[in-house]
Amino acid sequence: MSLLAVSNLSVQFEGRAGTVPVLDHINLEINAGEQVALIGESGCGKTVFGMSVMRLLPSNARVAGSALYGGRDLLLASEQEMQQIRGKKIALISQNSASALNPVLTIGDQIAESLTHCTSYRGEDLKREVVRLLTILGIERPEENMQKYPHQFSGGMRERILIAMALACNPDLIIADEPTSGLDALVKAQILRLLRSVMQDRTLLLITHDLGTASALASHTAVLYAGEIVEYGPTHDLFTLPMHPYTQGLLASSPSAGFHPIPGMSPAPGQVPPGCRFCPRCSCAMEKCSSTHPVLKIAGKDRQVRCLRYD
Amino acid sequence: MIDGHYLLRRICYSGAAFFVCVTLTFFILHLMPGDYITNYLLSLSNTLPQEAVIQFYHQYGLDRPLAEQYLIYIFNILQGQWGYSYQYGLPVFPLIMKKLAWSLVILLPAVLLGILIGILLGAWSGWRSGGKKDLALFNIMIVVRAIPEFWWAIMAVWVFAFCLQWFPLGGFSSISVLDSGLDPRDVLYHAILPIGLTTSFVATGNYYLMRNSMIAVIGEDYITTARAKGLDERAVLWRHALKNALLPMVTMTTFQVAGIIMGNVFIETVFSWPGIGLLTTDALRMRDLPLLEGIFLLDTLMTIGAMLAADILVSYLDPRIRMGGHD
Amino acid sequence: MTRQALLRVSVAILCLYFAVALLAPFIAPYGATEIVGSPLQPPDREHLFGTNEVGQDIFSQLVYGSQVTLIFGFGAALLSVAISTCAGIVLGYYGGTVDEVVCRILDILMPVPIFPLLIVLTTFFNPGVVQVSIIMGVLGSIHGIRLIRAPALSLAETPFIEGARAVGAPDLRIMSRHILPNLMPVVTVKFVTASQHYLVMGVGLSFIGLWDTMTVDWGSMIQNAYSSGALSLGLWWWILPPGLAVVGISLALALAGYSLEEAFNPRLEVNRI
Repeated sequence: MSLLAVSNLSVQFEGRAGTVPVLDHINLEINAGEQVALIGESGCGKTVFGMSVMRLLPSNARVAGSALYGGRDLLLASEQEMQQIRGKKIALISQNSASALNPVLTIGDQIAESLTHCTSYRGEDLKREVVRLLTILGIERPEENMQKYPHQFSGGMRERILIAMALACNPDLIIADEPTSGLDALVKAQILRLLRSVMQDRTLLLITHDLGTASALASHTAVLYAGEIVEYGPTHDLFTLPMHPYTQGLLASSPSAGFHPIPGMSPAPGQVPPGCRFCPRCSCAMEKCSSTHPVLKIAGKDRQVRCLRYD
Repeated sequence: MIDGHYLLRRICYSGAAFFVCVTLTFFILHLMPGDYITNYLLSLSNTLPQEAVIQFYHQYGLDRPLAEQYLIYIFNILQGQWGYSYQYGLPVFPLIMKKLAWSLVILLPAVLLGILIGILLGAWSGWRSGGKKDLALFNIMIVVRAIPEFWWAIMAVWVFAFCLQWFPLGGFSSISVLDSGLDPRDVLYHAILPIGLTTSFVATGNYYLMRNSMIAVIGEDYITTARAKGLDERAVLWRHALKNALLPMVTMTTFQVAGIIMGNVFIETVFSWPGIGLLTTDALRMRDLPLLEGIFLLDTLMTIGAMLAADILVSYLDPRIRMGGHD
Repeated sequence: MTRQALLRVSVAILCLYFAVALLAPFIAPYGATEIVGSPLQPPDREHLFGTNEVGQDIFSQLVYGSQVTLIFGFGAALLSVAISTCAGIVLGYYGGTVDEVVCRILDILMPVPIFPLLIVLTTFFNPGVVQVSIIMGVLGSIHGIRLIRAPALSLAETPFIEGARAVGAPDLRIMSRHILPNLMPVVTVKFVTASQHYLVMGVGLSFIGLWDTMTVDWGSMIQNAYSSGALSLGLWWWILPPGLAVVGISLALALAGYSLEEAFNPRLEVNRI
């Protein structure tokens, strides 16, 4: 059952130098119970995707397309409606735990804020609920720690706090933006384990550039390049048999595969080449690749790819 | 708790600052051509009885070597003996204190109101930054700030006192004081224009600072997190944005307050309000060095006090400072 | 009006003021202290702004007075910014004990109030415009050094600068060719806002009688007119010209300063007028 269906999502930003397109006709469907990873390099627009669904983009963003959730198009919903959805139905775990938490409020207060928004817990019940959440997330001595401030916690701890805030209202969908970035290997493994257990029966949209995180948590993966989805499929299949040259390149560039980087650089937003956007860097480009823009097509069971080689 | 080390260091620095200022005033006083007594006598053009002159010499140790004079000077300062004014012939410290009280009649309400208005307007403006209303207000504030204080004062007197005749021309009370003594309501009536003007200036300064602070805060990630939680605009503004935007304001506001306490020179001069500002102007005209130095030292003390107060306040209010690092 | 247009207008106004100050002897019909007519005459063909209480031509006073005002304002600002920039860059670049010591000293000097100190010092030094502007420049640089030092410090720590040092490029070259240009935005804004600040302060100081009474500048003109009762006598031409002159240049500088600040820090942007 489809929980979130994003169709033809295009996002542009208006600036002094003109309009910069960031996302180009994105189609992505997330079914209930699935964990979908959206992978791509830094700056490719993955975070913008998450923010568009939540309607948290800055005022100079121009959004087109639709994002259907619960029979409603989120992109057309009013601000009041969105406030009922955010946190309660769709929750966001922001990037960068260091700055995502309010430095002058205790973490207990910040988690409680989420709870008061969607439950009727107050007073002692509220406190108990906060403690319960903190315990689930593996934070020790919760009664004591909930009185502390964000700067008093390590990166891994803050990540857990952010996850606790997201889980507070038992949302239908959780969007996790780079939950493991900035964490050292040991802590990262802990957080991944934690997320695995906590997200088991939940629907997750995981935004990350880290292939390891995606393979650990996601059932399905979509690959984003230059503002477009270039490949989609079950994570395991995608990682063992990547179809798009970019995906292949990504996998080959990981340490375990031998650190083979993809030559060249991603095009800057708004400066994409005509034809296939990956063509300039593609090792198996054909003649028509530089002039014909490939379309995302079905390429097998539950797989899609945007490449002229499979047409 | 509050970092004792940091506070101790700030107190030592403050002491050092005051010490530097006192040294400076000492040397200026003694480097003036002629000695203190002669200058004093010359500027008064009345002769003091011989006993007074001798008492002066002893009190200031003017017949002793310079180093000793310096120590005596410091000792005197610390005791509240700040010298004698050339033009009034009175001890400087009590004179300044009396005038300070008058200045505070204008400053206290003006500063409190000005800070409040400035912060509220600045927060509102910053929250809507870039919008039409913010634009309009911001530009008005620029113009208000660009016009010098004394010019505002003169124009205010012209429009409100002369043309409209709503308020008195200046001074702190009407002629009737000679008959019936000081009437608080009369004084207040005279104080309205000066207070209004001072409030505006304090407000514009705080407006600008608060607006900048607010704009900086709005760009922070935790505001996005707050919105992502589904909080409405008011909750985001009050619980998250304002609290953080006000923090840097504490320091800046206390600094401002310290500055204004002695700096209301122009308004007091234009309105002939008998406070420190007017005292400064008169002292300047008469080249009354001891008095000017006294005002300078007092201002230094107040600024030091304000900065220390700000330090203590901030270290109490900001959990990052209060609670130290993470465990 | 866009920011560009605003900046251009401000600069044009400033050029006008400068021109008047520079060409004063050619523009002013009479001397500043010459007694040229009967006192308190309203404006007419001979005296563009009328005469004051002793019969001096107000227009000429205005023109000559601009020299004092501008010299003080811009002179003090120039000196203050020059000292702040040099000191800030040197401290930020070299760091080390010198930086620490100087910062401690600056920390100690922070609470010292400049305005009363200036008054005390000028009482002692017997104020000429140039002397006072020098003193003001030096005193004003105390706060400015911190402002420049911060970005200079972070610039000095960039890999680029470290690399240049490692290669053996001479320090002076690094500081002037690499660090200074990057700081120009901050320095420019500081200069413009400082000019406005000191200029207005200069007029204010003159208003309360800092200079000796023979100096004719806008502040003393306003003070003279006000204390002689220009308002009560309704003699607007006596008091308005110098006042409006100050307001004019102050506004031009303030708007220029904000436009520049906006240009360099887009987040403070207040789009259009």
